[in-house]
Amino acid sequence: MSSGTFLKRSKWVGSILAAVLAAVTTNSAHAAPPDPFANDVTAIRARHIITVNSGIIDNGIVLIRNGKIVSVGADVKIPVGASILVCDTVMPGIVGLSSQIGLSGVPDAPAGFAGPQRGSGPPPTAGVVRQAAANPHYKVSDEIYPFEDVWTKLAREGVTTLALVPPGAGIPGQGAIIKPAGDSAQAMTLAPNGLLAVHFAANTQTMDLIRSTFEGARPQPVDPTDDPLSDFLQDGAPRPGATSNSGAPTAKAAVGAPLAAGVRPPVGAPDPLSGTDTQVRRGQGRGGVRPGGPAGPATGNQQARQEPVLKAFNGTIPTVISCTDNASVAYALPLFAAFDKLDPIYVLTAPDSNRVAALLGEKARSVVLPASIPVEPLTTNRVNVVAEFVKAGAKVACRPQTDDLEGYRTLRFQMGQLVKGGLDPDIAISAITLYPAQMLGISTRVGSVATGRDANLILLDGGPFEPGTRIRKVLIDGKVAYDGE
Amino acid sequence: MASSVKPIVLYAFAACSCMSAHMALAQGAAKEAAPVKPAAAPAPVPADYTYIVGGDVWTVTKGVIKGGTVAMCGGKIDKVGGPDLKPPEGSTVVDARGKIVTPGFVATSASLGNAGVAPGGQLRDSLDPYSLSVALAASSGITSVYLSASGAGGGRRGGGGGGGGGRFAPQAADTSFSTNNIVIKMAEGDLKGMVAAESTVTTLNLEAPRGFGGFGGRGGRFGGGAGQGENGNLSVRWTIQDQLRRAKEYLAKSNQYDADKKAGKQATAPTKPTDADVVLPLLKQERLLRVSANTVADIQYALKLANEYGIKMVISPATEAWVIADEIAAARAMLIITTRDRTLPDERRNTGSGANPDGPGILEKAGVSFAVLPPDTSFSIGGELGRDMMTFALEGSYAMRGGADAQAALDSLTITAAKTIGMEGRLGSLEAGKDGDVLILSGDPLDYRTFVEKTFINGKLCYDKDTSTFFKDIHPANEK
Repeated sequence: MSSGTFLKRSKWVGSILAAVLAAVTTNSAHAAPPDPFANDVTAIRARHIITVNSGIIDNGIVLIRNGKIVSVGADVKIPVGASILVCDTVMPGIVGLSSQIGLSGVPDAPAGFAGPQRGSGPPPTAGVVRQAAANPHYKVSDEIYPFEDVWTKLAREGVTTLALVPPGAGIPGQGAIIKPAGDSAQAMTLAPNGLLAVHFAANTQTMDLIRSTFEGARPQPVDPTDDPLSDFLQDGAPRPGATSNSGAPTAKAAVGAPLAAGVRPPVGAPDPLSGTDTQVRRGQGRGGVRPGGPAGPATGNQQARQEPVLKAFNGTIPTVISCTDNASVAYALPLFAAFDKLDPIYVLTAPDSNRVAALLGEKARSVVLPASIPVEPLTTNRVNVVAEFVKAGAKVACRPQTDDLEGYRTLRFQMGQLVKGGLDPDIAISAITLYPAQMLGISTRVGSVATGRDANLILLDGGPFEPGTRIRKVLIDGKVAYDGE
Repeated sequence: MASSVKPIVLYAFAACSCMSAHMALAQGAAKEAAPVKPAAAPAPVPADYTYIVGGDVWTVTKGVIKGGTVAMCGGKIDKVGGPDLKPPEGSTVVDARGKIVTPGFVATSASLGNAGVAPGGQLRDSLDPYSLSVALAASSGITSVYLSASGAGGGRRGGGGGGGGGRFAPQAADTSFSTNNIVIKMAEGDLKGMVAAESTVTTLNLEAPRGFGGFGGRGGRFGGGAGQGENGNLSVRWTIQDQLRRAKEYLAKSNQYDADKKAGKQATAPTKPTDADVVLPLLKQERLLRVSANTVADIQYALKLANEYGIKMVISPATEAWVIADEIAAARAMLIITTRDRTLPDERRNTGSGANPDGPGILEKAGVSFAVLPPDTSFSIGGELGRDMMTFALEGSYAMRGGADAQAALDSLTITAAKTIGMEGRLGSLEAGKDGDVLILSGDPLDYRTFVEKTFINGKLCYDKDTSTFFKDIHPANEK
């Protein structure tokens, strides 16, 4: 606790310290060369550096330049002129996976449907029957408002990366991976690729919609020398007649849609699910590349629809699949297993989701769980669901129990409760930093304290799970986003 | 207060150890489901066999075998025999000495908390193998459940114990023929193993929500106001009859056409009415029609359809069926009844009306076979004890109270229930070739003191009282 009082940022004190250090080490063989740009350098001297990806470094230094971490270690030399921050513990900023904070609500929601309010972001309304729609072309990034109070407040709680997932049913659109800092949506965006959101539900309409949308993105290899993907992207349909030369496409299409309860023929009837704007005509947006489908150049709209699905299909962007009950998991797994390159992240919210731990752990799936120890329905039995998933072999990221500021405020404490309940502390810290970053494909940018990473750091005056610990500073891209002094 | 808290805490710890069993079960099922079986299945080795030995085997259809053996393999019953049927070396042997072995009970309706089916959806896309109701069903001895998309079982039972008139309010009117129904197994955690059969019957709601001016003090016995409801509506009934009539005409013409062609005569093929497909299997007696009807008038209307179009019919909940038992027997219709129904008689009618606790005896005497359902088709731990599916077998006992004999009572839980959902070929008795749905009971299934000790579904152990979260700490008074 008292270490917090050592935290200094006075430049001249820092300079003197650095000068003394430099003087002490000039004779050493490893002396830091004089650095003319050291004024741009920030050094964090911490009693414990929780790197997450390579253990804890005691009495170490993190050097930051141009918003990036340039070196980490116990024997790192602080260049002359660097600003020095001193703290007890430094850890990577929290990576929140699947949040609706700051979003306006369900796209194309029927009148009277209460979606999340801008800025406050309550959890998605459970139990509300929503009609599934496929709008992969919608983008969360189009509506991000950078001057929302909530961003500053989130940064204050140590959240430095947030994967925003649009609410809704079916395929509501593309999410965005953002930093809660920056003056424009573009500046806030960490990974322009983002993610594709899928809100799964165990019913025929939603599953047919999801299956046909992804089936539509399945490339039809017509000629081994030809790149079917570019073909697909150019005109939205393989060349007419080409598919008849090969038996492969049919065979591949046939294995495309096995479901737990058997293979169903593709839906033929017009689809009652989409509203006027979300209406996707068969053979175009939803099933765009079926052989024999309409040929000819795709409209911009079709391309906009197909592109994100194709990226998700190829694993270029992750697919965040939200399941509110265990039945959805039981149906989603075989459905998405048919798309082998797809990179699924399962976001689960059911209190008894430990019942599907074995299913998801079997193939070390990526699972996002609430950081809580819920009571199993019909019992008074509390279950450490996160620990059970880890035991079953799943890779687990944790999000707050409630998807709002208050949730992120208590996230570290909740993780501590999971540790108390048997979760490995190393996994607990990874579950809110490195693992979500890996799932989102951004672990070379965020989620750990390592050379080359974005300088998104939390400076603490104690252990990360201690209730008495306070956040002293939060850096985003090396800049102080929150100063608790 | 304090004394009541203690056992609950004990429950909680009991649940801990049980969860791993659930998960192991789920995992085991997932692993077994993975390999694709070749077309020619290899001959079963002893390890594939489960032998339940030493118990009194109540086959339901072929009497009781003292100290008998039930052998299961590949999810099916392989053999049923006497003490001389010995398990081969290496097979799993379950000791049932001093116990009673029966087929799994068949529920002709249930509220399982399935995910809910949106209009146009398929039930098999909305099952929840992880629902606790599934586990509770297995603990009650129920191994198969019929579900229909139009409400809980296509009848008036809302499930969940909705109070007041709500429970008896008809489900949202489904005024036409539907085949969106499914028979599922209570195989916890095993989605593939859950689906037993789809569209085994056709359903039709004929339950007219007639106003009975304050019967039961609930503003109308069936929750409706005064006047005719949708399903008793003349235009709805005309549409139903018209659909059947046109399909029947088509069938006759089509048969004539086939005969003419065979005879080498010149003939033109008849045009099939667009709505004939759903009713043709009924006219050909290939499928049952499960009708919701309650009053004498509605049942008589249903019987009229059965007689006029030669339809094999099941009527539910058929509260007033006892009044016209002979008519029902003449039409060879089966019933699904609630023996504990307390519907009061209609004072304006001088013939019999309302529910009659002696109904089962009257129906049996007339030769009508019936399945039974409790007043509430949900599964609950803390609800009205003895009124819901948790004590399913007691409905058989209540049928006996109403005058039915023990065999009819047992049938009403098993083979007759299987017949009413078109599944008698696979469910409802212990016979070689039927599904491996077997119970080991601590005593007579119709005795209120009897516990389900083990439940096998598709040949696999799905419930064991000794490890159950809910029941392992409850012991009968005389247990050693």
